[in-house]
Amino acid sequence: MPIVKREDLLEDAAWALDVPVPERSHSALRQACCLCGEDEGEPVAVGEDFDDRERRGDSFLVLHCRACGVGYLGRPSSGHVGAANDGAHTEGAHTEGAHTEGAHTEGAHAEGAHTEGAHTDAGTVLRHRRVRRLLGRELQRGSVPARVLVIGDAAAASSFAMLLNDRKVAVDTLEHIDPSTTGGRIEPRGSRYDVAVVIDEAGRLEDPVEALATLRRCGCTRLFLVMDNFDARSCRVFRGRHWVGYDFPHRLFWFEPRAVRALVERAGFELESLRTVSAPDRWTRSTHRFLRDWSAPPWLANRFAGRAFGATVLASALEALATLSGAGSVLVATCRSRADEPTPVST
Amino acid sequence: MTAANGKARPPVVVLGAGLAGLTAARELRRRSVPVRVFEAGKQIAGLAGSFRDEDGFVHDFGAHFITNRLAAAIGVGSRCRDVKHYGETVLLNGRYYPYPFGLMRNPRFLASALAGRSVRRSVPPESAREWYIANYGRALAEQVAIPLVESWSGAPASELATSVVPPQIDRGNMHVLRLKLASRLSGRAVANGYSREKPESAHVWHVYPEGSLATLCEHLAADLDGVIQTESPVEAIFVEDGRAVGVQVKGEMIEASAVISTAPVHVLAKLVRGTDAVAHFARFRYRPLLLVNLRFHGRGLLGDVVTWTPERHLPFFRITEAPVSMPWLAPDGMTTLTVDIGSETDELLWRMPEDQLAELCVEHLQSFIPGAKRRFISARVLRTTIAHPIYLRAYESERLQLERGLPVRGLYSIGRNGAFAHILMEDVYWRTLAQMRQLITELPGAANTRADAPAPAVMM
Repeated sequence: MPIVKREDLLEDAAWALDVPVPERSHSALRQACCLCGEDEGEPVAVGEDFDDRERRGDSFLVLHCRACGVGYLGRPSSGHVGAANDGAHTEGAHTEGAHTEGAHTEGAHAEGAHTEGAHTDAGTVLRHRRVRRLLGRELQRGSVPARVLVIGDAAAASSFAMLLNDRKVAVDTLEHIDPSTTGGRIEPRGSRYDVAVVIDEAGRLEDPVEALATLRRCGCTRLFLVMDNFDARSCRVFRGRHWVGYDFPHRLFWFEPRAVRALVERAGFELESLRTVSAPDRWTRSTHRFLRDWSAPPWLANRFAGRAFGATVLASALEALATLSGAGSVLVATCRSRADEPTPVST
Repeated sequence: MTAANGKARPPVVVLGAGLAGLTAARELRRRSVPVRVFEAGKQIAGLAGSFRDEDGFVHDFGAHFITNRLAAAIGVGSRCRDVKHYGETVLLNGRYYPYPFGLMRNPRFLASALAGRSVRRSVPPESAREWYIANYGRALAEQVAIPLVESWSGAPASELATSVVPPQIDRGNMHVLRLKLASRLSGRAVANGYSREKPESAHVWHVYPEGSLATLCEHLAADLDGVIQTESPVEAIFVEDGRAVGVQVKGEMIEASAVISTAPVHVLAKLVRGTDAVAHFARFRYRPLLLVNLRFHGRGLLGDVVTWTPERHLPFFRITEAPVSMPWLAPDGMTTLTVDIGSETDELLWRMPEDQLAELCVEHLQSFIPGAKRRFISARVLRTTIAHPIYLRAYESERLQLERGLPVRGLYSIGRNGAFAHILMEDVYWRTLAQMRQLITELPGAANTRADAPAPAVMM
């Protein structure tokens, strides 16, 4: 059985980036709890687009649905949306140029939940040894998957391909969908898959319940979700906003473990396991962001950038303790399709 | 939108197009509830209004505090600038004491505060005077707190209820210190004591619109095209069987499924017909305020952005130099001092011509601003008869009743004046949203008005 090589996936991703991205109207965004539909959440963070601080001030709220444990991007008013959409049309928020120069347009705020800039952090999740080990072990369990679908950006997909190689997990076909090229929707090219792996994308999907339900309709019997844990100790310490997993407005939702449970159940899957995994870089990078935001001198902030030895050791210790108490920075959910479940309907 | 019986539902009528009224109307409209807003004045914005004069000075109705959280919620975050510094001082005997901890530099105040904290009292204080003495000690209470609250309210502290003391004033020293430290480290004016409805944190700081304060209301109103009628004072609110059913505007009867008033409650009491359930609110009093905007050459003329002046010989109790925090509110090299003078409308100060009032202020400012007379450029006086509520003990029980809601179904009194509460802008916003959600559940056929119902065309 052929294994798709990393190079092939990268080529595939590059091709995908050249494809004109479908227009995504802001009015189409639900901007409410994706599980119960309520938009009366408590404001838990005032938005700041850390990827684009120079060009745009705070202009959005992150709300938290207490009933479901879902965090979501607050709905801006119409005037703001109008300005944002104008920017998208005139400045080409979704062109590759915008991606390579790291520039976000005004439109990127409202529509840019799936601009390339949104994915500065996606894919890095799979670089963590423990995440790879857990995911690899889970993939090796049960029957050999024949058709695998990866939902994630190009980096995530290539990391996953390498993981399969490393673990010697053989598959018939490996396909990749980058929701940033499909307006936040999952539109599989093939009709049948055995396994789907969603890598740091659940919070960026336009309608996560419907997206996962689509995977189930495609025959996926197993589903793996890898995502940032918004109930992590590092997230609590950095109060959300400075946490490196916080990348609103590029993401639309965040999930606590209880929200993940509710999400997979509503999509017609059964949760087999939900574990938190250690990711020490969440501490160092969050500290870097915190210091940068608070105008700390560069020599101090840079101590926490990259792989500074002292900071990494300290972060590893903190993250290890957090993971032991079930509050690690990355969530890995293993789900199985419920055979007797009727096809779920989107909320 | 139809009611449960299939008939078209009459609109919810909102009195007043200030921050509270517009927030209420926008929230209702967002949830597909028909709404009409009647504003008595020529323009929207009420007390949240402001204007920029021909010389480039921006004039607001008194001090306003906007946080980045409020700006984000309204959708004007990108049109606001961060306020980098905000501080308050107390001017006493010619010396500035940073508020609150700077007062402790005075040994008498320190001893007073420690004594006030150390004594446990079994009987709760009944008046504001007793509360201040019990918590601050006699020296600090009598020289600072009580003179200020009396100038603020225009009534003796012994006649004021303890609720005049804002809850945030007693949040704990560690909390205040933490936020002050965050402010210092982050280089932003972290909001400290300006929000009760939502928690304070280092991530919530003061911002201010680049244009003027009216930006907020203008943005809210942009979603309400065709809904707002200016120069349309509501003349009466009709109540039948204990429920608000309509209003009269310019002699015309308008049916309403609910009525939301942002008018001062003593005015509301006079508008309601068909019941005397709210008649007792007519005795509630608001403090009239003269806001003297004085323009000067120079900047940073005072100890900090806000200076409290408890000395009784001064005609004013507070001076605000907003351009220190928000330089864009005045041309370079110039500044505006807003002097707050509490005065009843039958007092001499209220009737004083603008130039005399300005002269009086400058004369007093001369004692602690060197060269004030030489620096003075011009003045503009704003008068409001309803600056803030006076929490008299005489009607405290009725005020507490108002906090729980009006005794008339379908009639809501919201906003700073409507709720008769000393709440700031962000609290007005969040409270109004919560009240509108409550209202929606109480409307007939409420099940139709879910958040995910199709939004009106104007919204998106």
